[in-house]
Amino acid sequence: MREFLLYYGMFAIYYVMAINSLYFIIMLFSFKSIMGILKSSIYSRFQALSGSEHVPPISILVPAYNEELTIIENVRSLLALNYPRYEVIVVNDGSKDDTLQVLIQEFSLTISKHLPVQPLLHTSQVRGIYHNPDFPNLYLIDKENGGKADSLNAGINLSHYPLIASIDADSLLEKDALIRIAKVYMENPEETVAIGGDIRIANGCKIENGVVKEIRLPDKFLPMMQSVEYLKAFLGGRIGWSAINGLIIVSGAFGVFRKDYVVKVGGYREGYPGEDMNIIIKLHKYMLENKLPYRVAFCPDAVCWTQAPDSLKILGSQRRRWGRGNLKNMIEYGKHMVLRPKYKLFGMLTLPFNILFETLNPYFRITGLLALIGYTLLDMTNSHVLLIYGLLNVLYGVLLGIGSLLLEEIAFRRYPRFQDIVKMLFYTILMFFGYRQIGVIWRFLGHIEYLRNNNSWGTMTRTSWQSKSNKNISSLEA
Amino acid sequence: MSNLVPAFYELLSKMEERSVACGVILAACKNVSAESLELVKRDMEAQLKDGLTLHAAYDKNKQILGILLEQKKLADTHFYALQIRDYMLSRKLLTGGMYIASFPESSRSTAQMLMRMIQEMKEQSEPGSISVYEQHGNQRQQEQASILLVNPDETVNEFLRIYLQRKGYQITVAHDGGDGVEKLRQAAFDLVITDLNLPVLNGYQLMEKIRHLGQEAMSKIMVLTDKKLEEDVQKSFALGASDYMTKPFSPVELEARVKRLIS
Amino acid sequence: MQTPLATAIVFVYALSGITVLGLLALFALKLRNLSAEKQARMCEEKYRDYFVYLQAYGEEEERLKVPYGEVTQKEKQLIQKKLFELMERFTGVHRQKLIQLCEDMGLVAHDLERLRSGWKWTRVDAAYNLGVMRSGQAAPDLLVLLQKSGANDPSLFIFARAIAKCARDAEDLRQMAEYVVRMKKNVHQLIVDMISDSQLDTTSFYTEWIRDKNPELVKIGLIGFAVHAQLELEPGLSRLVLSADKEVRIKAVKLMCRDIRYLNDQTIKDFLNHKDWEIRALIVKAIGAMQLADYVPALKKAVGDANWWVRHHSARSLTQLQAKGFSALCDILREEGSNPKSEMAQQIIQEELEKAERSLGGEPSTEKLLDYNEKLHLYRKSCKKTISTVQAMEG
Repeated sequence: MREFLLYYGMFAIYYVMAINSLYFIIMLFSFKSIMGILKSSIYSRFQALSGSEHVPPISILVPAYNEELTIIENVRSLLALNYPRYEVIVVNDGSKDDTLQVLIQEFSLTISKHLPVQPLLHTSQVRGIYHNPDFPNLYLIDKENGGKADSLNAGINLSHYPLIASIDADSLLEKDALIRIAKVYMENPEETVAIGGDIRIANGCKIENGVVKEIRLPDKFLPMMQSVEYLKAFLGGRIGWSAINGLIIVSGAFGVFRKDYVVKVGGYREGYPGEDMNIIIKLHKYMLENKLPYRVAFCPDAVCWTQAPDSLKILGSQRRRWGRGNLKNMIEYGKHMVLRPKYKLFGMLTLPFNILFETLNPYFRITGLLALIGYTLLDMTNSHVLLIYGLLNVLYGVLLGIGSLLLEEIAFRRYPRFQDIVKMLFYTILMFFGYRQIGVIWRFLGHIEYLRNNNSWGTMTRTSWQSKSNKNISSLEA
Repeated sequence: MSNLVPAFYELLSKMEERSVACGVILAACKNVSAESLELVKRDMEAQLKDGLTLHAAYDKNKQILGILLEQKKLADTHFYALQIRDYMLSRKLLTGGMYIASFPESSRSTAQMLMRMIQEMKEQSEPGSISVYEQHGNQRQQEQASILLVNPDETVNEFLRIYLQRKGYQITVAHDGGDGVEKLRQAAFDLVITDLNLPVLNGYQLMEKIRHLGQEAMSKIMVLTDKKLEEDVQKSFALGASDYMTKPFSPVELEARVKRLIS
Repeated sequence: MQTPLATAIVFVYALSGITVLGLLALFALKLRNLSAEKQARMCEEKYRDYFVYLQAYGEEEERLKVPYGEVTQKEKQLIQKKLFELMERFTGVHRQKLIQLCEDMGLVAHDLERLRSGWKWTRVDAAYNLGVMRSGQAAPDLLVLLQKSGANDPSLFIFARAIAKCARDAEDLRQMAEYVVRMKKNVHQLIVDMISDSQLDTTSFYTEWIRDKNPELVKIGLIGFAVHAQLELEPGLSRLVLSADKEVRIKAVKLMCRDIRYLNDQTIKDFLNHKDWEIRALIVKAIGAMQLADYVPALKKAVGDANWWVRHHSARSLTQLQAKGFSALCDILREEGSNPKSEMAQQIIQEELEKAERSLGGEPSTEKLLDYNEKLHLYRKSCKKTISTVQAMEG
């Protein structure tokens, strides 16, 4: 019995080493690309490009459910982006509050039941489309509740342009975020099917008139943790994955897609807790099956600010949903594509990585930890095994954290003060004493909920800028 | 009167005869004796190099040091004034501001120019500041055309402020649409130069507000923006703009259009 | 059991080592950046009056003078940044003089040297700088560097833009364009945007490129051609409509549809029956925009096209052709059963009536009232649908 526990414990240790080494390798890819990204971004004339007629037009889709408190400010900020030609399509997903009325009143929208809509995708009943010629690029779709994916599909039906951007109703885009993504697209329009933006935590920042005036790290504990988490995941992880075209997800909070390919893969799947990961998986699948050269890109200098949940309850609900989404995606799609050479890097590396190290993560970690604890309790002679397990976790985590802070310092430098780095380092270390563990448990609980057939999106509680449960980022691991 | 005027007058008349330009720098200066003046003059000549011919004179009553630079127009004079200022500051000679001009660029009558300069020197207070003689400096502010510049780009604003002020316009700057509307409420402007993509209120909304302010107070509007799309041009003109310029732009061109719009 | 554990312990030590290194690197980088910022601020303070001088006298004949006194290389580069800010925003004589100033300060020579550096990113920096300074002498070196860049190299576009700015003649631009289209697919729009930075007269060689044999250059030419309104007819366009390349066909038709002189009866008929739906859509849009009332019957037929966009734009164009067009649209309702054609007609008619009704708000002019009533009348006449729809309109 003791032996078994020890062996299993060792296996857990090796699991941890393997998973973190792979993260480390991905981070090295990030480092490889970072200079290119930096130079490419500072030497582009975004200001001039933002008025050029050669930039492809974009339809921004904003699904909204019960957003009456913040929707006006968000729409105003979206209407004021530095971009030559674009439209904003807000989709009211059968809100129970006054989201619809508030918008109609603010922009003096009138209903036009007969705006021609191309029936590309199936959606739930559209009750009406609102428009005001004084705001020529703003449209409001009112429809019955069907979920975020359904709302996006409705937006796609109305959209007039070849590119679509999926934006959360509370995402605060920087003014040049969209033009930066457009530039990435323009440099390779033939092959780029999706581009993700960088999501950062807005808690603690000074926001005025829909613009982030001063960037500060969050004061509260949970948002600060998430800040560090997101930095690791986006800079350390996504840059690297996109460099090898193995990106498995583009955040629904800020992502740009080729409309024609989204329609070809059937649009967004309804009632899916992880529909942003799902659409990317479908895109990979379609392009690989049809042997079309493609890439799913990530543009780290296009930034979208978002409010992070600051209560355990809502954060937990979010992470459980992520767990459900991840599992559902892997079972329904990943299973068919994993380890098939036809699916190249995505099938041979990304998916196994995801399944082993993200989906099945809780099981290995929890059981491994329990085994080690059990073993230590039974036999004190090799108790340092437990210590090594802990040290490995913490050290790797800190190393990856330092790596992402280095990437931030090389290319983006949005947190200018020295004390900001110290604070972030401190929280990186702190993360491993409680926060990670809860995260693992939440994910596990999410799996249980899924297996009990709870595929819903969880409680859609939005009480203004403070609480967020519908974050559209289905996976963050590092 | 100052004994600068007679000292320089002779030189200036000689230049006038030869139709040669001459830069004039007046600086509020501590007391210097005749010998030290000679030293200062030679020092400066050595520092400024370029084979300059420099004449210096000092007015004890008004404590003004006057420097004449032969064959230098205003631009070069300004440049040398920077160096001279640094020199004087290092020797702790400077007690106030500096005033520069160039003949015949700044004025046709040397005596009048000198006298006015000396007079206006007294009104100067900021030590180390350099002011350029304005030919129309006597022109009251109401006679100058006023321009409101609404643009979030600080570099452009600073440049246009310097450039257009030299051309004789009065410039007010607003950094966003809301600020622009505020300033419009407080005063009337002959011309509004606005960008389209502004925070708070965008350019179109600003133009609508101008329209609502009524016909009499209506300023002319010029749009200065990055946007090159047809629809933006059409929309701007439909909302009342009289001209549309895209960035990057030629300041000379801009000024020409401004002149045409205001006159 | 010991060996695996030993490996783990080795890992722990290795990790600690790398972590410490990483930490040192991080702090060093941060400190360096902070000190660079401080230096930049000090430099700005020191040269503030000098910059005022530069901005005030940009128009005069005299050359702008190089800053006096001892200027370190670092300071020069900081001044260069400020100069670039000005040079990117202003054109004309101001930019010219600033370029001269850069030359006088030795910045051009310095960057030409850096262009041959061993470090890749130094070359890229130098290339960008030379682009802003519009140094024609750098163009040959830049072309060489461009042609060494791979397709996935982000510096490809940086070099391309720099060449566009430095280009001495059409040949430089052509070489740049040819290389970029060979490496990257479908980037014509971006290339035209880059070329717009150049100081050369672009219209003349866009016209040349339209007649080129390379279809990629033709596409670039067509896009560039479309940017400015053309006074002269381009005879090559009609030939391009027959090109094997679909993109070329579509772009050529797009250009032709902007100018009625290209559209004779035969051309219009050809386009209406073209196999590419994009071309059919373009011509039906043009018919509406140009008020070619003779083609109402053709438009009416096109509302029944297989492609949604063609149906949509045909119906739209019919509404632009006043009573004749609108009544043709209503006729469709009468003649057709329930099919996509009549559906589209119905949608557009409703939208049009709605628009007209909305414009009646407030104090409508007699014109608008007449217009609305006429449309409503035509609609009712042809409407064999149930009365409830009409009631809904009135309600």
